[in-house]
Amino acid sequence: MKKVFLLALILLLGVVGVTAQEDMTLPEFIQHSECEVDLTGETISVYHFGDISGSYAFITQPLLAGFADASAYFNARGGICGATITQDNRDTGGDSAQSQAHYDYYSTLDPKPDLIVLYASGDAELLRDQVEEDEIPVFISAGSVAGLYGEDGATPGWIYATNPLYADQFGMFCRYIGANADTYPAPVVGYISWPGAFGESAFTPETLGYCAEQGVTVLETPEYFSPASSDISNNVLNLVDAGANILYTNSLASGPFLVGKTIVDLGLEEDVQLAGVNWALDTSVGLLSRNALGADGLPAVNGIIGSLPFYWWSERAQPGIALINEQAAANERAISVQNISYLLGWSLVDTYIELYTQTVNRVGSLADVDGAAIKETIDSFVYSPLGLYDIDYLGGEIRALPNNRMATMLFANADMTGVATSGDDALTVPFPDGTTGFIPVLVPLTDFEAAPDLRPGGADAP
Amino acid sequence: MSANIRPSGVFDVRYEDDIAINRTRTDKWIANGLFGLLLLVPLLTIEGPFGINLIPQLFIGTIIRIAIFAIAVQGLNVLVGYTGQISLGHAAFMAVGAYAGAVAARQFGFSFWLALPFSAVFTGIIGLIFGLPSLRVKGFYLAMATLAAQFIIPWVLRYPLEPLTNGSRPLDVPPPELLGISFASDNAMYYIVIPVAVLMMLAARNIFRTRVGRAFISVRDNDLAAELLGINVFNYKLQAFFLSALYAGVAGCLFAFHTNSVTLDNFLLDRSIELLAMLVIGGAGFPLAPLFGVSFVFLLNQNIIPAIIPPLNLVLPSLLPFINPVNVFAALNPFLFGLALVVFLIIAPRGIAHRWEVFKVSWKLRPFNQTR
Repeated sequence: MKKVFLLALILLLGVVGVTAQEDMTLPEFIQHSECEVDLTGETISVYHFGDISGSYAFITQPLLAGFADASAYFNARGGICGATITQDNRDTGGDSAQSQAHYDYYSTLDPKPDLIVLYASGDAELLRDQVEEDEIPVFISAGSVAGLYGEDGATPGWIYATNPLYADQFGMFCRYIGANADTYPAPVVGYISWPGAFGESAFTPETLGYCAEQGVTVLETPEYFSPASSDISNNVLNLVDAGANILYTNSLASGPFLVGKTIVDLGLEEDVQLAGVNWALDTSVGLLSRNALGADGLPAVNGIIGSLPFYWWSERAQPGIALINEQAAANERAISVQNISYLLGWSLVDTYIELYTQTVNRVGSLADVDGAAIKETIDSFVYSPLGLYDIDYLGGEIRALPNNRMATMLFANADMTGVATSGDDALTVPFPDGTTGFIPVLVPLTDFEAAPDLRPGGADAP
Repeated sequence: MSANIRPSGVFDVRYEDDIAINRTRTDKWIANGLFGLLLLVPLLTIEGPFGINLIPQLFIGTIIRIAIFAIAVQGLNVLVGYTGQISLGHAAFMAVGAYAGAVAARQFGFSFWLALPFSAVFTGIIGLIFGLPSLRVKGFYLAMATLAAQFIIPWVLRYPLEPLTNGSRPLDVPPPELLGISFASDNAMYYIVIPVAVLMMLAARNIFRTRVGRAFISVRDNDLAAELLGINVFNYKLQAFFLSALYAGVAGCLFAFHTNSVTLDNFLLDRSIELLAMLVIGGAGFPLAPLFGVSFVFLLNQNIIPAIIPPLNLVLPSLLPFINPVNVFAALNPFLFGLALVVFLIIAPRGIAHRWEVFKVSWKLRPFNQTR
């Protein structure tokens, strides 16, 4: 009897142990190419440098967290055909001299990196010729025409964006506004942004011409403010006095927040619509606004419209999003980390796996993989990392993703069944600093569709 | 100030000895030898003609950047260290030099060799214009006046001059060429930047030994007294602004031709403040200050801190488990940089060059360098 009981106990413990063990296989929706070469024991690094401590920190710290969590997740499930994925990050603080120094560091490593990850338009423009000369392809989460296509806008380089061109995003925004004349009658857009490669990249002759074709007037004089600014009332008033009823910003984190706050502070909520680039529709913007509330008691950026070229955190029916939600919770990631860049971190690591698998399969060994081989793969790469967005550079013809959709940022209601209509019915969470935060929800306004091609000489450029 | 002191037991017997920069034969050998060694550096890299990997290739880019920024900071040294004026618009003058050189090469077909002096003189003239308020104002007010340059110049380059400068978009710059030889690579560019930097440093050092240099110093020490002594203070202040901007113009032009691209992002206000910080760290008023200040900031920021962050990242998360490792990484760079600066300024408030001079004098005066 004792023996039977002991056996039953051992069996029970065994069953509990097996069921409690984490599943170490990849979910079915992740379909990587079959590995033809075993890379066990090898290491593949995600080389990355950018502004981790400056004005981009709101988005870059979550990017690193995304890299870290995704690397750990995929490494536990076989890495890249057995090779371990590691990270190698360097901080530029937003200084171009630092970018150059870090690029020199990476480009003189032996062996040279096969691929580098960046996200600042300025860095892309600075390093464009150098990466081509050194034959190091770059993935970047930015889309200035000059960085991707050169000064003439017609020379694709070695830098590939994982989002649509900023000019194309602005064009798509104008198309959306023009097509919704009932909601936005007589639209006049004032462009207000940060100075520099990123902030100014959407304000081009092509976008202005295209917007005019869509029935949207864009004021000819843009307003620029420093990321360190705290008062931009004059900039906003200049545009509003010139007739703007929509303010479009090609900035991120504190940029869109400050424009939204200023609109509220000046009592222009009813008269002016806030809009922006894909970075403007981000958790960071929503959380920064928690202390700047509009008349409805919701954050000042409530209702901002703009580009959302990826699936978002709240679209849990999408399996990649569900997985990332689950992993962010398992890794106890704070809500401030659960933003656009954390998603990009995951999708980039997944992209690395597929890219290296395909390349190694083609060239035969990891030792034979170099920048040129990776570029060759990227040019013909058709892949949807975790299903978040579609990568297809049309056989190397283009350098930014063509698909985009429009969305708006609202805030979750208290019972999480929809969006809040006022501060009273909004879901709030306490923050460590004693303030109360609202939970941003991005609601798509359109389906994914091809954005206009507004490169100089592009198909939709007037 | 720079001590051009003789070693114990060495006496000047000729006027030439008295005015020489290097007072002894050993000094001369050391200076020339160092310059010779500096010129050998690219030959010992993997991309050098012999393919020897004795010196990391990474050093070439770092040395070039240090040299370019040392020229810019030397310009600031002329203005701030020697003439006692202030400028918060030095990066804007670098921008003028960069764009003047780039536009001269692209639009007017100037070769680099012509574009460099052109951009230097052109920037000097722009500096002269922004120096005009120095007649009436000084101190904080002059700082504000020069700050205007930091806003006006980028605006002019971005908007009214857009057809020439490409506005906010980058402007491609052709690499320098000489007799069909391209200087596109870092190793080749090194042989342009280093001799120019050495010449500019020597020129700066000589300026301070001339009538003009002494006038600068008198304006800095007491402008009223200088005026009473017959020195045309306004004239010398303008000369200082011209020279300062000229140096910035040379640095800007070299920067543009080195990176083969110019964007305004490189010359914003934070760059002006950084240049000023480099001068303070180096020791304003010493000819070697720019070299020390720029090297300190660049090596700390670009080599030392990035090298120590990865091991710290391995240790800190376990030592400080309550902090997110990602946040530790993001905080370390500015934290270590700020800490190093504060510690440094406490230890050597007059800058590295002052420490160097103290050491040098002590060495030359041995064995009579003992103090009670």
